[in-house]
Amino acid sequence: MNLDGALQTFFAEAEELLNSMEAALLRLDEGDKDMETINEIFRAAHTIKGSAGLFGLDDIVSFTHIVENVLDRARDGKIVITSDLLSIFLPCRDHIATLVENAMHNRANDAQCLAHGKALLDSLQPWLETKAKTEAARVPDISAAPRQAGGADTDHEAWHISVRLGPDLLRNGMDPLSILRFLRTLGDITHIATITEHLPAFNDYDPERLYLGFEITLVSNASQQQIEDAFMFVRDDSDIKLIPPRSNIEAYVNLIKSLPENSQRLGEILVKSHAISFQELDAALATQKHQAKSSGAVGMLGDILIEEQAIPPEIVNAALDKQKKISEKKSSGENRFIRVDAERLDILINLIGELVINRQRVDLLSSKMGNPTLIEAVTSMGNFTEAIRDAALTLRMVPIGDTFQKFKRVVRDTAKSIGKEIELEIEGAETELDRSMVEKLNDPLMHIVRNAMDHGIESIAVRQARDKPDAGTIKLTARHDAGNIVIGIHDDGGGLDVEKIRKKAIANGILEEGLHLSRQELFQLIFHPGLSTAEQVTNLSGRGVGMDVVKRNIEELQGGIEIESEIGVGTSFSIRLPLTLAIIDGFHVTAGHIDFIVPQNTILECVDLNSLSHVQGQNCVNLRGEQVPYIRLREIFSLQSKDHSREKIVVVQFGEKRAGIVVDDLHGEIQTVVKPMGPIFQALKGIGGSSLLGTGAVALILDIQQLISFAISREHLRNNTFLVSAQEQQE
Amino acid sequence: MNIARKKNKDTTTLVFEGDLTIYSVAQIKDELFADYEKLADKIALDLAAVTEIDTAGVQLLLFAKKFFSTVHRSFFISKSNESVDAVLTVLDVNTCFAMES
Repeated sequence: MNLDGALQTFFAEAEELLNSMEAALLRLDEGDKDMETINEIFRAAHTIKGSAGLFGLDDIVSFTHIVENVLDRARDGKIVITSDLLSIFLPCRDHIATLVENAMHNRANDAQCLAHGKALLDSLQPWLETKAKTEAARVPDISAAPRQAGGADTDHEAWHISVRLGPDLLRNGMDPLSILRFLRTLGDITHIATITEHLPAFNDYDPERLYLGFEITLVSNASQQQIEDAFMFVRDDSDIKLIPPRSNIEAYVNLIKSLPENSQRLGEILVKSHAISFQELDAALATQKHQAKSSGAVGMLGDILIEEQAIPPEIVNAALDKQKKISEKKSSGENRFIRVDAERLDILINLIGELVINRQRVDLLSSKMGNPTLIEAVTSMGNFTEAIRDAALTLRMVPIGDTFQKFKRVVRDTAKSIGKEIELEIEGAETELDRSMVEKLNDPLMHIVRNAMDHGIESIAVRQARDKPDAGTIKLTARHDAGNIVIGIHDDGGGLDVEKIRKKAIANGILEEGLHLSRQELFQLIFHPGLSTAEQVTNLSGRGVGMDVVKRNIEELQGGIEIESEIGVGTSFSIRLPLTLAIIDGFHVTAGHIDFIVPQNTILECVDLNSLSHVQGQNCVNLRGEQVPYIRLREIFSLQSKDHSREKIVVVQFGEKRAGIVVDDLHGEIQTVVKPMGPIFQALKGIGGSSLLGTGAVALILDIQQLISFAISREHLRNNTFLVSAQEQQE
Repeated sequence: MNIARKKNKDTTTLVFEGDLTIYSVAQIKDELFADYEKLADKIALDLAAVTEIDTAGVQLLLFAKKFFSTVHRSFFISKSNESVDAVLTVLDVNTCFAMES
C-alpha cells in the first residue's frame, strides 16, 4: 500500500503555497496595494486548509481557518491590511509552516506549539470582532444550521453532490470520511446516503478497494469552486457531480439518469434528501413507464424528458463544463509544471553520462576505421548527443530567484530586531543553476547576508554622520558568465578594514608579522576559522564561526569566492560556481603517461612552453608582458618524466586569477562525465574528480582553482623569501 | 485486531478489539468470515473496544451485513462507542446495523 503518495504531494504543495504567501505578504509590506496580492494570500491559506482537512490534519485546519477568515474580510474590503496586521500574519504563516512540518515528520504538536498558535489567533481577534454575521453564514454551526422542512423548492441553498470515488482511493491513503468532514466545514450536510449497491459478491470482495458511493445534500453558501476543491485530491479517478442550489427538477432527473445505479433507489434518496418532491419523482418515473408501455421499449428517463423538452440537457453539462474549465485554466495559467521525482532525473542524467562516454568510444573507433560516411554519421549523432545532454541538464536547472526571495523575510525581520533600516534588492532572479547546488548555497548565502546586515550596514546614526541614506541596501545579484554562475552579495555599509583584519590575524597567530599579502588575500583571511572582525559579538553573527564554513561549502561546489570592499562605501562578495557538476566540456592532456582533463571553460590558451620567455629564477613565464606563474603536473604529482623538450603550457583562469599548467601533450576537447572521487582520494588536492575516456582509460579531472592558488602562493613565497608557511606544508 | 466469538443461545457475539481501518481490513475480513457456518443465526457486533474505524472498516461491516443476509443471518451492532457511532453517523449508515426485532 502506498499511503504516502498524496500526502507527499500535499507537503510539497503546502511548502510552495507558504512561500508564495510569504512573498505576497512581503509585497504588501512594501506598499503593494493590489487586490490580487491579497487574493493570492487568501487562496494559499484556503488551499492549505482544504487539503489539510482532507488528510485529517485538524490542527492546521482550525488554525488556518481563522487566518483565512481575516484574509477574507480583507479581501472583501471590510478591513484594511495595516503593518500591525502584517506583523501578525507573518508569524501566522510561520506557524502554519511549523504545523505542516510537524505533520510531515509525524510529530505531535506539543503544548508550546499549540499555545503559540492560540496566542496568534488571539492577536487576530480585533480583526474578527464583527465576525458574527459573516462567520455564521460562511460556516454554519452544524447543530444550529437552518434545516428547512418541506419539498423541493424550499431548500434553496442546498447543493446536491453525487460522489463516486476511485476504487484505489483507500489504498492510496485517502479516506472519504476526511472529505465529508471537510464538507462539514463548508456547510451543513443535511442528508447523506451511502450507496452500497456496488459491494460485490463474496469472492470478488477486496476489502482495500472502495465500493461505496455517496449522495450528499450540503446546505452551504460556499461557491462551486470551494466545494469542488474538497475533491481536489481525488478528482482524477473519481466521478463527482454537483447540482447547484435552485436547480430545476430536471437537473436531478438528469443526474439519476447519468448514474449507474437503479433509478428508483436513487429517486428515493433524492426525495428523502428533499431535493425533489415525491410527486415530481413519481411523475417523471410514471412518464417513463407510460412511454415504455406505449413504445414497447424502456426509454431512458432523461431521454424522454428531453424529448418532451422538459430538460435543457445543458443543466448538468454546464456544471460539468464549468468544472472542467476551471481545472483547465489552472493547468494552463499559473502552473504549467509536472512534478518529477528528483531521483528519476538523476537516473536520466546518469544514463546520458554513459551515452556521452559511449559516444566518445564510437568516435574513436570510427575515426580509426577511416570510413568517411561512418564518420559523418557518427559526427551528426554526436551533435544530437550533445543536444540531449544540454537539454537534460536544463531539466535540473531552477531559477535562483526563489532562494533570493527567502532573504526578503530574513532581512526584514533581522533589520527590525537590530534596529536598522535595510532594503533588499534582487537582480537576475531568473538566472538558473543546478537544483542540487541551490540547496547547498542556502547556508553560505545566509551567513554572508547576516554578516552584511550585522557588521556591514552601519547603524542609522553612523550612516547619517557619513552622509548616507538612512536605509542601508543589500543587493543580491546573479548572472551567467562563461559557463559559470556568479552570485553577488553587495552592501553599502562600512566596508572591510584591511588593516584591522591584518592586525587581528597577526594577533590570533594566523598571519606572520611582516608577510606581504595582496589586498584580496587579506580579505580572504576573514574566511579563516577563528577570525572575526566584529568588535561586538551579537547573537546574529560575530562568533568567528560561519565564514570558514561559507568558504568550505562554496569550495565543495567547485566554486570560489572573492571579496571587494572599500571602507565607508561597502563590501561585495562574489561567488563563482560551475553551472552543473554532472557533465562538463573538458580538454584532454597527458603528463607522464597519465591522462588529465582540464575543464574547458577555465582555459584561456595553450602555448608551447619553449616559445615563451621565462622569468629568471622563477616558475613564471612572460605572457605578452604579464607574468604568469606555472606548475608542472609531472612535478606536483611526482610522475615519471618523459621527453622534456616539447612541453606545452595551458593557461587557465579562475575568477581574476590565472596560472599556467605545464603538460607533455595536448589531445583536444572531449565531453566528460564527472565521477566523484572515492572517499580515500577526496583529500587529494588538485584533483576534482575522475572520468572515463572513450578508450576505457581513467582520466583525472584537475581542480583548477586549487592548482592556480597553489601556483600563485608558491610564487609569492619565493618572492618574499619566506621559507615555509603552514600553507605549503599542507599543500 | 482480534475478534472473539461468544455464543449464547441463538446469538453469536463478535467482540472486536483494536483498529478497524484500511491497515487491518484484509486481516479482519479473513477472521470475520472464517468458519462462518458455525455462527449462530443472529450475529451481534460488540464494537465498544474498537479504537479507530475508517471508511474501509465501515465498508467491511456493510459488506458483511449484505453477505450474511444472503445466508439468512441477521447482523447488527449490539455495543458500540462514541467514535464508532460518530463515523457511522457521518456516513448515515447506523440504521443499517440496528437490531432487528
